[in-house]
Order: sequence, then C-alpha cells, then structure tokens
Amino acid sequence: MLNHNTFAQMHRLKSELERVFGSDLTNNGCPQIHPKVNVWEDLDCFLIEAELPGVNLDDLEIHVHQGTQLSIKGERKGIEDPAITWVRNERFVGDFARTLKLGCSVDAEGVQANLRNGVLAIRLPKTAAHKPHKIEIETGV
Amino acid sequence: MTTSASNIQQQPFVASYPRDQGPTAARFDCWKTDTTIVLSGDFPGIKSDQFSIEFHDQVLTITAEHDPSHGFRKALKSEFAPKSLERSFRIHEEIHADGIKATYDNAVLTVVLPIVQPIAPRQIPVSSS
Repeated sequence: MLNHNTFAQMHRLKSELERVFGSDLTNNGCPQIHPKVNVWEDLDCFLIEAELPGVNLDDLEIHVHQGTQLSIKGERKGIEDPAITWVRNERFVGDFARTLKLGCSVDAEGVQANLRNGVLAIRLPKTAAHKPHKIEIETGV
Repeated sequence: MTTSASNIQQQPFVASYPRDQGPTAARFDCWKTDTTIVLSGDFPGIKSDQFSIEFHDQVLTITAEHDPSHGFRKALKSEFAPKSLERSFRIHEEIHADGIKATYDNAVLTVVLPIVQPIAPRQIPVSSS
C-alpha cells in the first residue's frame, strides 16, 4: 500500500541515483549536474531562481539565446587539501548547466541577475509585444 | 536525527543522501585534520543571522529559519521550496566547546570543532641524593 513513507523512500532513492551517476534523471539522463530552479511569471517579466550554494561569480555564466532561452552554466570547485581526511561527502562539486525555454520572448538587454546567499535570481523583462496593453475607453458624447 | 561524524571511513567518496533526515536536512561535507573536525554545509537562501548553532552532550545541532522573499504571482516551475533546515551531528571525539567557530559565506556554513589533544607523556627525572 502506498503511503507517505513510500514516497519519501522513492525520493531518497532518486536523490542517491542522481548523486552516484551525477545526472538529473528528470532531464533525459544528461551527464551534467542540473541545478534546481524555480520559475515565476508576472505581468511584465519572468523571475528565475537557481540554487547555487558555494558557487563564485567568476565561475558562473548566464546567456539569453534569441530572446527565448536562458542558459545557466558554471562550476562549483571542491576542496583539495592533502592534509585532510574525508569523513562524509554529500555535496556536489564540478560542472553544472541548465537551459530553460521561456514562454515568450524577453528583452535580453534588460535582464538583471544577482547572486545572494547561494541563490541566483534572474529577472527577465518581457518584450513589449508580450506585455499587457491597457485599452483606453472612450466615452460617447 | 543525528549522524556520526567521526571515526568513519577515510576514503573521499560520495556518500548516500542522509537517509534518516528527510528533505529538510541540509547537505554537509565532513572532514578531519590532526586537530579539528570540520563540518561544512549548504544553506541556500539563508541569511547569516538566521542560524542557531548549539553544542550539547556531544551533539552539534544546526538550525536555520528561512523567510519567503518575493511576491511574484504565478509559479511556472517549482523545484526547490524555501524552507527551514536542520541537521544534528553526534561527535565521538572530545571537543573544546569554547573553541568552536562558525563562519558563513556564499550560502556555505563551516563549523570548526577543535579536538582536545591528549597530554603527551612526561618523563620524570630522578635525582640522586
């Protein structure tokens, strides 16, 4: 019988497989790590958040392709110190990448991004054609 | 739930996801030097003043509360939810509790626990009368 524990165990199994094989199984089994994202939409823009703890700005690239695709890629560097003895390792290190198709075209020149407390937030303004137009109402004489 | 963070295997390997911790457990790496145990965990979206770190009865407990951030109306994709995170570690070495240091940078919390060093044997000289 399926219950909450069953789904929790399935979630843990999926996470373990992702970490062992270094792939996001929900993304067609591509070999890179794919950071988790949230995508929000407002009337005039999209907001995309990506979880990137421990990633430096110098190791991060963001591109907008043809106004309709956003790609985030970079590298999280690990700790290399011969004097330490590893006890437990749960965090990923290495290359990551994620490409998202946007629902409509955005103004690449107006894109703003910031990385704060390990969350990358990218604000993408929609092009004028995709913003809502307010219709003025004329009154009859 | 607690994790044993000492006297375990020495090889650097990708360990399993914290089995007993559930989805609100922060991910940690742990390593040892001759004089310290270091715990380093990811806390994306957490501000430095939102942590509570306690060491009691050989158990280190780290808690972080998260505040929701923005007022966007419509979620098109939601793969991570801002949430509070907690993790506990049972330490099997004797620690200088007063010397525990924690730093937070770029969503990574690092806690350094100094290990009490054994007192070296001292040779007692014998003087003849």
